[in-house]
Amino acid sequence: MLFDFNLQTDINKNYDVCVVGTGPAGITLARKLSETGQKVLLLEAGGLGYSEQSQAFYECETVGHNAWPKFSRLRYFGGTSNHWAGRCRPFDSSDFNPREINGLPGWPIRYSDIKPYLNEAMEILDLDKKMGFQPVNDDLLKTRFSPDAYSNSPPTRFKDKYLSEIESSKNIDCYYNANAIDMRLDTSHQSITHIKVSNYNNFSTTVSAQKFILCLGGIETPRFMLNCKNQIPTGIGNSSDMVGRCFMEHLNVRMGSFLYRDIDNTEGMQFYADDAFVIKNTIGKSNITFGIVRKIKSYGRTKEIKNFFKNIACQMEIEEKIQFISEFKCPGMGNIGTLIEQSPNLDSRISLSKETDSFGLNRTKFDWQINDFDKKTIRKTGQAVAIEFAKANLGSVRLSDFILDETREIEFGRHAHHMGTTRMSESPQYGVVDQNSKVHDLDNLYIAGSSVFSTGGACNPTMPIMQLCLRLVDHLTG
Amino acid sequence: MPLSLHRRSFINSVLLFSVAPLAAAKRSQPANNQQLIFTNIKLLDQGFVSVNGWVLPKETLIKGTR
Repeated sequence: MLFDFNLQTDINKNYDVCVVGTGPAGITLARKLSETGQKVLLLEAGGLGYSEQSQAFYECETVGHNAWPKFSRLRYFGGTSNHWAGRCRPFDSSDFNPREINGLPGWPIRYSDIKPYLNEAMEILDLDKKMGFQPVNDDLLKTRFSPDAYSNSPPTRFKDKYLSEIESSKNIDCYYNANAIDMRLDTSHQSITHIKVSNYNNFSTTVSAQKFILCLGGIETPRFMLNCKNQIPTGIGNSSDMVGRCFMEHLNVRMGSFLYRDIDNTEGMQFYADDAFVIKNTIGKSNITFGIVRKIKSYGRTKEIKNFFKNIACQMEIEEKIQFISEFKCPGMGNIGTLIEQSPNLDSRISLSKETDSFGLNRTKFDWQINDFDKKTIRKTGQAVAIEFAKANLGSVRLSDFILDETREIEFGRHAHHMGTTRMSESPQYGVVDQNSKVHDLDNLYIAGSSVFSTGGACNPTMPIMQLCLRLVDHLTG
Repeated sequence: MPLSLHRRSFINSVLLFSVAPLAAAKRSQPANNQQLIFTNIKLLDQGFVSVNGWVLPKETLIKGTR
């Protein structure tokens, strides 16, 4: 059933599970739990479509690198699936190998724990299971890098695909325009007893359930937990001061540009760093994209002009050629982009700003930090991929100044993959949730989404999010 | 003043102002062009260098490229 909470005065208070957030994680959990007979309350803070009123709650105070937190996510039914690009690649088994980075442990689970959920996750994301994840180009670089292997979702818009199913579900009550504004604990501070929910007309009520799952994304989940400070001043689930720490993004760096030897080549290429290279250099993983600047169609006079430039490129001496190619965007030229693993880092964090929103909740203070480990990953990877490109006789790479000169600041872009802020760990000392995505401090509070990632790998997060959600359903339903 | 003199001073003026910038431009050419071009060479590993950011096999610097 579907309800507009702006028009309601109450919510049925007896649920097995309360799921907060209707992004890919929240919708998947609600659907799968309801299939097992669980009575589910699904809460969405926004409406059924985009509104500036709802989106304005994503305003943040930024003090570190800018991750564009207001525009990189969407606050209405379906969440950020309403504008995601659809690129899917599962984690590698090596992502789960025991390791320590910046004094923090990696995943407390193994790849085999989430692998059984791959097929079902592919179904949810409308991926072709027969095709699987095939290499997207030839193995041209030979060593240190392999062709990337991924699959593209249409992309699945969870609102379009699942809204009518939820509307007709007997076991799901979904309320939109329903903002979770507080969580309350029992007297022993071991369990959540209820959540306070408000609409946009200043009406609020409380809802209770046996279990609660937060699916608010890598920024809002820690913000909500930190804002629940009426009973514990430091926030709920934050006894080790880990809520909001270790914010990770996939680093989008303009490595440089390239010029194909064969300037008629108009195909881009994508590569993935081999594990041996990553381990040998003690760096993070990386995904490198060679994107052609433009595809040139040439005929008639254009072909003559193209031949003129081709001849110049082949006849000039090296010093002239270097100057020429550095100044001219000729056919066969492109840019090198990245999706690089950022290491978990305690100083990169979400905390609370002094500024508050209209519900009286503190806004996010966003301090995204990149440390020396990450800079080493970027520079080592950039130099290695440029050398491999030349070795393979594909042409030449010109690296950005900051790749070669360590005194220069690296220019970062973003991928809108917000990870790590309620990371999974065996011990409460190093994270917020345990191996089953349950908050360490509490008996009945769970978290789903990329905020539980212990490390981020170099793959897009939606596929692993789905696998972890399906695993959580199995755990909750025994 | 005879008409021919006018013509001569006009042509002289044109030549003077045309040649002067060219002469000045020649003087501004660097004595050694390579000093300006190879401003930044860095050895990346045993086989490769970067020259102004371009990553090239080391032997390219000796043999040139095609």
